Amino acid sequence: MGQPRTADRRGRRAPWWGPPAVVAVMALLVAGWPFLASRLSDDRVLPGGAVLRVGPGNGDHAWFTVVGDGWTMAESETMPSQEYVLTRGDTELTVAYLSLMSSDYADRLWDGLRRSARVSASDARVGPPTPVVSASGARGSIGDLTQRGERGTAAIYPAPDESFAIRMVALGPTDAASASASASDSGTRDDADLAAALSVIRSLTFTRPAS
Amino acid sequence: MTGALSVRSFSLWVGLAACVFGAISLGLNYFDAVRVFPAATMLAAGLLVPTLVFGYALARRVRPVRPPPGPPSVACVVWGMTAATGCAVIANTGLGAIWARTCGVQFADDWSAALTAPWNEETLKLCGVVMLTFVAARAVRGPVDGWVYGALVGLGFQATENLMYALNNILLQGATSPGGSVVGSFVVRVLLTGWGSHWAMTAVAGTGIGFLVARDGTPLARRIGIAVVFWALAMAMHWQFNAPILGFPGGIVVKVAVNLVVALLVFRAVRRGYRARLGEVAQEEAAYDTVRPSEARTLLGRRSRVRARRIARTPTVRARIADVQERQLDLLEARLPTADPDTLEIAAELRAEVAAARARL
Repeated sequence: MGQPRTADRRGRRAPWWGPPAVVAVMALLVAGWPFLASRLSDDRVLPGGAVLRVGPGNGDHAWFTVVGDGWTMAESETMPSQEYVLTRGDTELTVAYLSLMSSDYADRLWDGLRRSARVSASDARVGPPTPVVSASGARGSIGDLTQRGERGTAAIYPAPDESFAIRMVALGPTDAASASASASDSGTRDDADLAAALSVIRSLTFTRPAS
Repeated sequence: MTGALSVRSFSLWVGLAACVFGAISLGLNYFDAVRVFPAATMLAAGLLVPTLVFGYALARRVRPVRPPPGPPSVACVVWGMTAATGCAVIANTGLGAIWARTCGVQFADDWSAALTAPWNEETLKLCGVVMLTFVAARAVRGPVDGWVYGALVGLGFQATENLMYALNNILLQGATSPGGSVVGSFVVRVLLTGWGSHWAMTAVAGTGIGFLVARDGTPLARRIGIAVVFWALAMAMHWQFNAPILGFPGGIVVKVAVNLVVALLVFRAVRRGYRARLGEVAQEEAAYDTVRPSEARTLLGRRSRVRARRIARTPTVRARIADVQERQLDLLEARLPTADPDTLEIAAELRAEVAAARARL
């Protein structure tokens, strides 16, 4: 007892190139894929009036319309079953499907939005909700959102049976309002982008739109 | 020997650096969710610790004859929990973006998980088993060890991934019930699919590395081919698990069952070969009086070894018998690589150790 074991002391001679080869393989995956991805365009231009479906497709989904021209879709961040990320100028609009464990949780959606926003930015501030009715009659809540020097609008639409919900968040530069006051081009453009995003938010429908 | 030690030390530092890198990657990706949902994170971790402990004990218990040493076992779990997962988060994001940008978002939504995770994750997990063969060469003597250490790497990966999915699930459910989202994720990813997930895939891939490093006289080219086949089999297991197929109710149970059965069939095959070879060596050692025929019958079973120790009346003698048994098993396992040029020399030293331990009885 207490003797060092030969079986532990002796080791097969590892090739000197072994560890660098493993590092090379790992580096290839960790750096190679992102590098290749960066060489590909991420933005797909969306035509005005395009109708997009968000949700997993088993009946739990909704549609929204891309209002106006100039919208692009960030393809690497978009998964139609879960989330769309659209941009227009400096304004970003995310449309996300949220599954609910039961309809009892629908009244917690706005509070959940506050907490989810704090994951994206610790300084996120979500204002009080006010009722909103989309163009198709879907009822939800809407409110102001500010985070990381941006301002915008957040909306939540529970599905009619409250088995899921759609969250839509539009964010743009904070200085858009003040800039627009001085009639600067960028300020009015940012305001126009946010207004377009608001139109998209109001286009949500839970019934298949006529094509 | 100096060269071997330097490569070993270098491998150890590289492995540590990879684990730190992976941990930092995970921290950067999930710090904000942990910050906002600390109680739910604690709940998720609390649910996963017993899973991890159970899986760790089970993986080590199923190794025939005796469990693998603790340090390499823990190292494998840590690799899976940090280096493999942390690197996979980055690699998967990169390859997933390539699918979306080249094939469209709908194709990527349907197929990205099946075409991304098998390639990246099976490779990154397997790197842990490969690194182990550099750091602790004697820990991986053959396919049985590759299976066990692979399962441990996969277990670590599974644990961290479950934590990540629990946090993601909170956000996917709108943060309406963080605790409920964590429990729901636990039920699906541990109780339902945990039986045929990452541990099973990496156990199969690790078996290939066990064949690769086993010096049993098989030509190197063939051993490489076998290792690649097992790696590909693990990727196929992962693919069928992630692919949008078998979408009917209960389809996920079929996928889990497929992985579980494949992993167990592989284990059964390599376990049989391992025990048979160990039995042969035990019989051969009778000629050296290191393993007597009566001992050979009891040495290969955990319970029979315990029974053999019980004939001693004092704890001291029982401990000395246990020492003899451990050194006998060291000897038998050291002789497994039939084509290792060092085996004869090591076996001679180990026989002397068995004799010395026996003399202390």
